[in-house]
Amino acid sequence: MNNWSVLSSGWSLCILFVGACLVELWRERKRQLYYSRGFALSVAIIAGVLVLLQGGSHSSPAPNDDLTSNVLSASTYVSYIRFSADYVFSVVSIGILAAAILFCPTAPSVRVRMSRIFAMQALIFGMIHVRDIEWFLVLGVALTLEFIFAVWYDSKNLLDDEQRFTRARALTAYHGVAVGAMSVSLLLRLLDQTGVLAHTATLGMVDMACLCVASAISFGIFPFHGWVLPFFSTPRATVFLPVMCIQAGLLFFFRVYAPIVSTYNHHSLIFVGIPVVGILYAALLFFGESRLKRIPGNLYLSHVCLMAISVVGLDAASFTAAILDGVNTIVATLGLLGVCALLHSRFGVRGVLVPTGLGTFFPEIAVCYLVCVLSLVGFPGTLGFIEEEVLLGQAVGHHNLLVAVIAIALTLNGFSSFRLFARVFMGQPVLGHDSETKLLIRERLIIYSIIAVIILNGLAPSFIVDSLSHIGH
Amino acid sequence: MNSTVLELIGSVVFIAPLVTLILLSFIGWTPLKSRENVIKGIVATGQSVALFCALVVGVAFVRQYFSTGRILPLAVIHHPLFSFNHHSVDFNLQLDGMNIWFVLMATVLSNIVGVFSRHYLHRDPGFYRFFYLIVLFLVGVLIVFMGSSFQIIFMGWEFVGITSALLISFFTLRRETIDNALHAFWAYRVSDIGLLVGSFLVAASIPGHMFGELGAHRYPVPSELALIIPLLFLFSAMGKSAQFPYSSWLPRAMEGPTSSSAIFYGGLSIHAGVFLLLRMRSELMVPTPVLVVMAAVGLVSCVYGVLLSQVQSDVKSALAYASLSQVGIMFVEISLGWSQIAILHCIGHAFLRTYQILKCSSIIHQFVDFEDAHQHDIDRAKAGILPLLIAGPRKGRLFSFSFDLALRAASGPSDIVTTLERLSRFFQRGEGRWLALIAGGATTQNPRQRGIRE
Repeated sequence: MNNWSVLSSGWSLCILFVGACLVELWRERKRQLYYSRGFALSVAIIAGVLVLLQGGSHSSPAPNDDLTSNVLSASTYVSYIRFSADYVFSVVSIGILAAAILFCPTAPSVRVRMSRIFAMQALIFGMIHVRDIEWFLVLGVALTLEFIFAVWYDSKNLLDDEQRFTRARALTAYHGVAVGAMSVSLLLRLLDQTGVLAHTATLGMVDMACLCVASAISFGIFPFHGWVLPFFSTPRATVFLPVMCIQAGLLFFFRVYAPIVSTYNHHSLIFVGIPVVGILYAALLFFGESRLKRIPGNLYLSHVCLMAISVVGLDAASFTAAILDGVNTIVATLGLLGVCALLHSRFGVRGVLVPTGLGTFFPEIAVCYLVCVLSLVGFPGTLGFIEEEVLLGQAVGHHNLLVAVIAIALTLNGFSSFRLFARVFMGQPVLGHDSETKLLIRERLIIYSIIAVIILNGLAPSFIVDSLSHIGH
Repeated sequence: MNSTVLELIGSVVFIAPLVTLILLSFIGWTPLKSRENVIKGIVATGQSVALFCALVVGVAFVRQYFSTGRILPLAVIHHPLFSFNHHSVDFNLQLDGMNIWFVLMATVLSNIVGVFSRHYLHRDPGFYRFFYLIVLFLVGVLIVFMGSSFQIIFMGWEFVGITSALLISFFTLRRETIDNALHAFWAYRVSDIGLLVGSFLVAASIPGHMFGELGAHRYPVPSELALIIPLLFLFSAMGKSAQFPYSSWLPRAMEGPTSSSAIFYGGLSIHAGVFLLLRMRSELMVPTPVLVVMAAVGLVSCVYGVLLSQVQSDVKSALAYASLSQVGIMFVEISLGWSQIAILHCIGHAFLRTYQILKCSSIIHQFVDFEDAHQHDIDRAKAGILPLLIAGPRKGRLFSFSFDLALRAASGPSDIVTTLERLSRFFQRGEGRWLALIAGGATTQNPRQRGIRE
């Protein structure tokens, strides 16, 4: 252990974010009305430095527990996809934090929202670095509850239309079940460890089912996806909340769901069949979409099924494809949510059925939208293409039907995305334009950064592929 | 000439347009974007350098052929993208005896269209956008022609598709252009499935496959995939080359600027499918049933194109259908194994058609009533090739039949899109009802009732 290890451990980040959260709340309590992003950005920069320091300190020990023989005490669920993936997730998390800080408008209650973001980051970093499944679940329950509270807070304070409580109720209904399932699993583990309950195979299966359901809801895989689309219709002030939510969901996916279902290969027909149906269903759902903010949600639904197919239906190496897909989904969704929020805040556009011609005013946003959706449909030169190549490269030869299904889904999604692009950014401008609609420098910074990340990783992908290549094994 | 120097010169054929593209990307964020002289200077330089280098390589290949009797493939770009679990993807480009003609064709035509467009689009607000997309297209089409494997061809194939759609909708203020761009993009996307799946199947069946490795020999495809892989490639080629039943997008694609129509649907894009089939024929053992299907598709498209071109009411659509019928003949030639004739036919046709489409604007300008004069077209049809072949009442019946076909081809979006949209709305309603059940929200509103600004 070197001198940097304490400073560069994951817990230092948690402590940093908890501290930042408390400072923001204290300043809100003191009614310091003028808000500057200096403090929040300083926290993000310090966190970024800490994450960079962590980069060199990871090793890759192999899991030593057999999940099939000892279900309840298998605390190594969370150890499966650790290490390099931790680093990637940490970097992505800092990116989301920076984007959220820069994008958050200066409006009433901004400090409250910022403190919530810091609290969520603390919990997400806790989940990234924790090693026991019990603690992972405890932090997962806390984060899920935090999401529910945040959505209710938005619904009461920010939204003003008739549907403002729909998404809060939908999220509460689904995530309430997830919290319940996690609690049952925790209780079973507690009873098992204290010796109150005898360890039986049936209890093991119950625990397994609870974990599967909780994680499936958390990352919103078909058919547990009902909360995803309304949740993406978020107000601009908390536009990156869905990205944090899907990041937490993907942590559940990689740490809990993937190791469990990939262990039970004899059930692979169910575990592969459901995502295969899901990916086609999501593509069909997206085909007739006309609501702007649901675009990233629809594409996310396809991608989460793609990840499930890759970790369950294919070999261990496909974990890398799944994690690449996760990173690509998070980054591109971040960009799309930003685009949707900008269009909504500037022009009030929510749905598009006829061309609105916004590309005339906002060429940068049009480019950002195009790059993000092209990355999500696996266009060459983007990060999505690399993920698609890795995934299809693993699938082909063994599961040719899967290749065909994935290709069809990507085709449908590609067409739907381009059609929405045409409707939003092409055509006769039907909305007014004045100088206030120009993009701010901080907004441009986010957009350019996202485009750069997607394209640079697409053109020179060896760094990210090499760093993730051994994860599956 | 030293092979290393030749490789370097060959690499510039691709690098020059790529550098042009990067420069234009940077210029797009600066005020220089509106300076026509800067844009056309950069584009002309990039295109001319690419043409010059392609000519040098072409001359070297001709000399090599006359001295040794064969042309060895020249690896010009080697960029390993990634390697993972025995599956590696390298961005390799090469020049060989077949693709050098297509590369020369691409560089010459792009130069011609570039020079033409400088005047044609002078003071057009989309001047920068047009040249950016044309250079992007050139990069894409060079990847298609120079790609050393089917996976690399797929990369370029996608670029050609998206630039085509963006150029069809170039005059974005008109609703029709957007609808037509979507129509073409749908045909492209559907046909892309064939090349995507096919290229992966080839990569899995023949690991490390690169074009020209076996010389005059061909790779045997595993028996279980012997039919599937060539059929997938044929499917993709049909979409890109607008062969029957994918033909309806081609006249719609003429909505774009004349110069882009010329290079895409007269010159290069429409022949990308022909190039793919030529590559397939030279690399893989294609079973006879696939060749029969290919010939049948070509023949049907040829007849279809001839019939429909007779009843078009505007000159660009007539040329589009004429192109379609010529490409159909190329399909037949390839299926019969006459690859050299197909290459010659392709190059000759590309130049002729590009010239004709570029000339269209002047013709329309000179004969104002020519563009949309049905009666005139009927007279033209009577004076066309059909009366020479068919006489008497059959002529009228054939004309009516062609006219019906043309109406059907021009009517609305394809049925598949409409069906998928209905299915999608059905699922969306189901989702809304389920949410209403669990959350008590009114989420089943029809978005159409809410208009543009919900």
